[in-house]
Amino acid sequence: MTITLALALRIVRAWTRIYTARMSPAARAARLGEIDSDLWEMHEDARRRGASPTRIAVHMLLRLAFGVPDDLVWRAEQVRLRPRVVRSALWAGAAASVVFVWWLSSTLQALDPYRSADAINVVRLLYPMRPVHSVPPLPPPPAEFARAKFPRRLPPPPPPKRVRK
Amino acid sequence: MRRKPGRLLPIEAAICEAAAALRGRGADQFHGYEIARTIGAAENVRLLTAYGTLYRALARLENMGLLRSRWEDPAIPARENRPGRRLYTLTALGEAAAEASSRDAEAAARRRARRRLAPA
Repeated sequence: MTITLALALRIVRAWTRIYTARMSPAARAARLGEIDSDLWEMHEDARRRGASPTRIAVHMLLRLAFGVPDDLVWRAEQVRLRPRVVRSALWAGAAASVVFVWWLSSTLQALDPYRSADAINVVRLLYPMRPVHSVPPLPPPPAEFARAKFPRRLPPPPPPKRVRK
Repeated sequence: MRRKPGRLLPIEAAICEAAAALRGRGADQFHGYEIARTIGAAENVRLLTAYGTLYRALARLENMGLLRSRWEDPAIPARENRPGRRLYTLTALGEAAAEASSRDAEAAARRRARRRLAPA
């Protein structure tokens, strides 16, 4: 297991422990157990498919980040908090998720920007790649155009003709 | 997202449809990751449903009586050296909801196609 993957697992487990803190032991154990099982299944499945540990780690962290608002709402539902508190927590969670995804993508790109085969690109991870058709270079102009010298300034237009009534 | 009365949220409908698809393939019971992978494959997205979104929706569906869950026998994960799975089953109510939501999706797709074909 690489350091990145171990770190991702720790972050996901730590966040689950944080938002389930001071809950009933049964509910807490159930959520921790579900997340642990999901992490294991995902790791094994991705490994079988030949994904690199870094890619698995990024995927885990993105799944964590996008689920933070729901985690907070779920927690709020468990303790029945006031709607205003829930709304504030939701905004805070959404903002934290955006900042986290931005930080993660910029850090990973800065770490390894040139490895295209195993590119750690969040956008590539999110959306299936489509082939990009490059525009072919324009053909050279015909010889007569290339030789012709166009005047830079056009001559002034002729004065309008007077029409006798 | 606000829930329309008598309607499932998109994530809940997706879970019910994925569970029905898994049942069609002979898997009566499924765990969280399995459902996330099935939804991801059906929608052709690379990023699977977030942990928070998925497990909150599963809990809601269980409270609504569309899913039933149980923890697998601890001897099995101990033997296979892995964490225990929480196994979900689609109830009859859930199956009806899955059918209704796939019917709705088909009708919406037909409406969209008709609108696209209509002259401007």
